[in-house]
Amino acid sequence: MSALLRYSVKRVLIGIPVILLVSLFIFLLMWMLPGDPLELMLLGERVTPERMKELKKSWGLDQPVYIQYFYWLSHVIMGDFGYSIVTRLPVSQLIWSRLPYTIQLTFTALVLSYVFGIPIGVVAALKRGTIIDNIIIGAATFFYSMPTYWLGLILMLTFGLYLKWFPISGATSLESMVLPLLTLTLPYVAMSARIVRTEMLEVLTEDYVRTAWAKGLPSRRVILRHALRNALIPLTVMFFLYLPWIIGGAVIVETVFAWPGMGTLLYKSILKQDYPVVQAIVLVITILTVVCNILGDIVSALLDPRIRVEKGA
Amino acid sequence: MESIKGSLLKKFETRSMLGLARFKEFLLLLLHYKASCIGLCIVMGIAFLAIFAPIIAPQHYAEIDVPNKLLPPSLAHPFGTDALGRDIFSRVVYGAQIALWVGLIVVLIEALIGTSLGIIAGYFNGKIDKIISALADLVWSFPTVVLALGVVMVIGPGITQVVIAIAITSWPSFTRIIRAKVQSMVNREFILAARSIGESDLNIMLRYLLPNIISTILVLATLTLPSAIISTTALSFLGFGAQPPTPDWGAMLSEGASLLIKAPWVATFPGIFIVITALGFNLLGDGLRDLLDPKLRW
Repeated sequence: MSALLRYSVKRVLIGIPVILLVSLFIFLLMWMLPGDPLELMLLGERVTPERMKELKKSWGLDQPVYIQYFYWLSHVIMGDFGYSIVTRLPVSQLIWSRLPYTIQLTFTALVLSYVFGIPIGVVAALKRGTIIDNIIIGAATFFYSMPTYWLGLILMLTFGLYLKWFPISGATSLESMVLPLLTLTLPYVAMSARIVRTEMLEVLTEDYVRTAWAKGLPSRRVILRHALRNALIPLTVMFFLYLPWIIGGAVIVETVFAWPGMGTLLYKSILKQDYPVVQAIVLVITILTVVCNILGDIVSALLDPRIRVEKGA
Repeated sequence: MESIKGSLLKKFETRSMLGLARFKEFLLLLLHYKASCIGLCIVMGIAFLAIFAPIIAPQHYAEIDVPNKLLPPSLAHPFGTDALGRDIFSRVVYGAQIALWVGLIVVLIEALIGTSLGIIAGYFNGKIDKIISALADLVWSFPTVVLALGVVMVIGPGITQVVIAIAITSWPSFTRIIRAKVQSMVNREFILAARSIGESDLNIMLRYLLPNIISTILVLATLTLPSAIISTTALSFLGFGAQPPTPDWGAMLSEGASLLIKAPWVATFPGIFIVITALGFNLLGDGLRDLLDPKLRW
């Protein structure tokens, strides 16, 4: 266990400079933006040049860039992302009010895609080369090739506008979650089914699975206990790598269905050139990506001891 | 059929043939995989549309005809007309040019960055490898759309910006696989021999390693092209990519999204073409992988 612990600590320690580097990158990106942030904030307000200088000083904008960066960073660490240019509300408040919706949507989608993807992939692997396998592979490739925004529109058109089964926008009730959830989930069902199928096909030819068959174990036990357990390792690790992806996908799906999550906030903020909000959301998603990456590494080391020795040394 | 395929495969694998004969054999073999055959047909069909767009399309993509706006599909307008009376069929046909161009350029940049970093990481083990791999892992898991949105925010909307943004976030799929491939070759005899006769590192990478991973690059390129097209059209769908009147499929879809009840055909046809194109490349890529690089998993 101590090897795992050492490896984990090492991964976390590498993660910190990465986050700092990315934060610097995001800060510089926004700093390079055309226009003075102060002028943007005071849009339309009449301010004397003296008052402007005073304001600049109070905001630290007369300092060199690196001082400004540390000033910004120290605030960000305390959870203070500044104020939105458009709504004048604290950015952190805006994000906190939207975050639960996005987490609700993405997390459920990810869990559901595994719940459906794993059995489908196992069936395809067991029925390799048959019509069932071909249909599953065909359907998976089809959904995999489908852009989420088009899938969303099609679902909206059939289930929302023609059949009128589910509401097509907003987050008023549980039913309004059905369509965005379906849009987000289907491609990931396809993806996880494909991964499980390839993994299963590989594992099923391993010696220990053959031994299990030879011992005369019931097929259910061989498939679930011996084969699937090992086939699921990559999928468990993928869970953490999928999470940032699915949040990226949520930006589009939320926009299509007017789901009040971080994605729509990001989209609207970009349209309105609300820099501080965009900066904060991109930073939050980046930190999430780095954290998920570290978790993925740690979990894969936990499940597969070889990695600890290989990478951790 | 199985036996023909088997003998073809054997012939192909012995690598006794060269040049054109080998290519012909390769095509024949590819045709025996049903799925990839369909994929190849789709890809060729889309390419045909793109190349002969000015001949196939009955109208120019930007030709406005307001009195005939939002007409349902008919003989004169097979896919109907949009809110400005433009012929959707013509726009979809011209859209094939944009989709393929954008896809190819994104994949080209991706392949260039991804392959060079992959070869470097695989060839020089140790610290360089660790840094490149960590960077690749991080960028790979970062959501492409979010980064592209950030870039567009700074340098403004437009198809070129989107292409750059998507290419710089999607190269790691090349790096990860090519690194592993190179690592498996570094200690083979032909590389050791090259080293012992004093070939420079750069020469070994370019003249010994690169030719051996060309097929892998080809497979990866085919398999990443659909996601390149989907990501760029997604940005156009959000309004940050191609600007009007460019007949980008994503932009057309977003115009149709608000007319979903009144005129569903405006959004439907460009969408179908995105799916067909992505499907075609995915099917073709799967076949190419089975043939050229069976060990490669996606």
